[in-house]
Amino acid sequence: MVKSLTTIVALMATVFLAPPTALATQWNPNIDGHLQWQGRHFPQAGLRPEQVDNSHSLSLNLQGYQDFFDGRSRLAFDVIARQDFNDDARDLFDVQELYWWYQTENDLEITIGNRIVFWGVTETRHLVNIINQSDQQSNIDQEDRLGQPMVSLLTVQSWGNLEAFALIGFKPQEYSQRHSRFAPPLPVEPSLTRYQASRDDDHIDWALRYSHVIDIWDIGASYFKGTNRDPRYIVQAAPKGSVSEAGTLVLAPYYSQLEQVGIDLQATTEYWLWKLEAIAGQEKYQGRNENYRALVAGGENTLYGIFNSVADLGLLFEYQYDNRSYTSADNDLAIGARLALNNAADTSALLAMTVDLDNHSQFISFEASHRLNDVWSIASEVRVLTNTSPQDLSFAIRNDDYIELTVNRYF
Amino acid sequence: MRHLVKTITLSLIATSLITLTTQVQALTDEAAIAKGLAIATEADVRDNGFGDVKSNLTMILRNKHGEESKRSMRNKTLEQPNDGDKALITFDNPRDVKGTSFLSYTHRASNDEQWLFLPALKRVKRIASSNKSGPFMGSEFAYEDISSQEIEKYTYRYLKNETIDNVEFFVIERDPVDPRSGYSKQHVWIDTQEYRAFKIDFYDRKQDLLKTLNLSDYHQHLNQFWRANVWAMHNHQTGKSTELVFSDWTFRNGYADKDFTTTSLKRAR
Repeated sequence: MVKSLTTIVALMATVFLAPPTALATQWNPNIDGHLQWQGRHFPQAGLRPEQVDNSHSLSLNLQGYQDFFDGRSRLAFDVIARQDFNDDARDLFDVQELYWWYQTENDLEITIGNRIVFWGVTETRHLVNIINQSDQQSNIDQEDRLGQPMVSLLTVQSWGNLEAFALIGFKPQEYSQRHSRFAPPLPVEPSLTRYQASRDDDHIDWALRYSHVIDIWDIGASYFKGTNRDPRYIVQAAPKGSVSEAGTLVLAPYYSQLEQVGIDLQATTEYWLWKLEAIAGQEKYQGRNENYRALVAGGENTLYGIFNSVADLGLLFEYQYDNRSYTSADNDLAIGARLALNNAADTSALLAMTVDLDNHSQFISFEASHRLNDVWSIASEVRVLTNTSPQDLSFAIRNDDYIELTVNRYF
Repeated sequence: MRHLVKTITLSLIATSLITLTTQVQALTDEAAIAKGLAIATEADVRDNGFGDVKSNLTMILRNKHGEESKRSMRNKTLEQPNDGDKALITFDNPRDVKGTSFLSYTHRASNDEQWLFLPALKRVKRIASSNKSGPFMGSEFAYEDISSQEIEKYTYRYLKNETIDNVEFFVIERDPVDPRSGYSKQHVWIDTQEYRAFKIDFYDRKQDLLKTLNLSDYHQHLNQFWRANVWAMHNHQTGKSTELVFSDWTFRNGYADKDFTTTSLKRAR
């Protein structure tokens, strides 16, 4: 990581722990968090005998903030620590947020530090959401992200919001290990990680985001120039000193440079939400410029008060297209149903299925959550891969169906 | 021949009489509608010019066995000169939804606009506002019960005056204009002195009494604006009830439109 940024983060940590006396009178930070236990069971044996059949983990999330200058400035943090007792590839410590935010007199907003930035509107895939590295080890759904160090400038105007980002430093992905589930057929060798950018992971990436709301339309446009968050993997023999035995075949992560534009659009009409995300870009890979395009488009309709109750049933569909070779969402259709009981316990469930329209591989996902009381909640997840074709990228994880139970204690 | 003429004449007179009676009835109807609208308009006018306000809310949900669960949240509202209010609600309790915030732009004529900020994903999501009749946070309050009450959202009819405990009330009926409303009609008791609502009966789409809201503990702010601190909603059909308790009202905080945007929603917590 970049030295200067480490210094900023250290400085901010100091400010948090020992605020300058001038601000001490206002010092009353809001801190809360939650502790989570998660257990997973994989009913099928893994493709490799050393892959785990059960795993359980504990994670702790702490967050807080303190406002200054009548709410024109804020220090905020959000950290997560996770330990998996069966698969140490899932262990994590991440500073998701640790930033200083300041709003100038003429309403220019400056943010310095680690942040998680979410862009986009669709449900089953997040194409335009490119700023943060995804926490692949937490969940394969790419909903969980890792903090990204940055400096950003935002202006909120009558014609829309415009934010410019300088992304300082890069976080590579957290890789699975030989005993992990959701692992590629060959082990990943992190020591062989290579970057196309000459300054390796010190490279600065740039991004620009415009967003606006006009009547029923939520509009977003984005530009990104920098390191691809998803590595390519190059098969090679492990050199001496690797984690894997020298000479065996391993995967070397390679992070290329790319330039991408994206749009996201939502129309909120009387009965339907219509959603679209599309990206187009150019990636430099092995001396060639590869052009790529991808799209997610669909709709969501909610039936209120079904069966004479107060429950809602949301129905959604999304079509996924991607012409890159390293994604399985190349020509897929996702359909889903979301049930919300609207009860005091906020019980809800989501059942979704994705089908590859070319090779007919299927991915079925069920998620449910329920509040037990003020401080405890439980959630469950079941994921099943069926009819998996050898042509589909999910073929390597075809035996990794799982059942998951999560218990949260908030404080 | 004469006989026929007579018959026609008689029937003509009869028709005129019927028309006349209907006209008298129609005039009474028109007067009741005009008076209903006048009362609602006066109540609205008396609350004009509050500017902005913030308050804290506690919501106590009780099921028919008397079991309770609590929610707490903070509310900020900004008055709009020629449209419905803008409001931002931030949840503090239960803890699993802490930091979740809800932004709404109420409109007089068109559909409301609503966004939700989900802190775990740092995601702002535009949500459909067509869910008027759905429960707010699992309570007995529907979204349409707590959103800004604009004149244009109902048609009105004055029913009667009623005196309860030496206080005189107008009783008016208001019918939601929006076909997606969960109600066929509402009966509202408004005091003739200060034009404050003290009780609302909500009738479901089948014309059956569904809920009753009692508003109490009124306080006057800035020598003009009355706010009830306790809103008690009882559902007659399920036996469940929800009590909304407001506190710490602060008016004229100097809020502006820029404090009610999808950007400010992200840091509302």
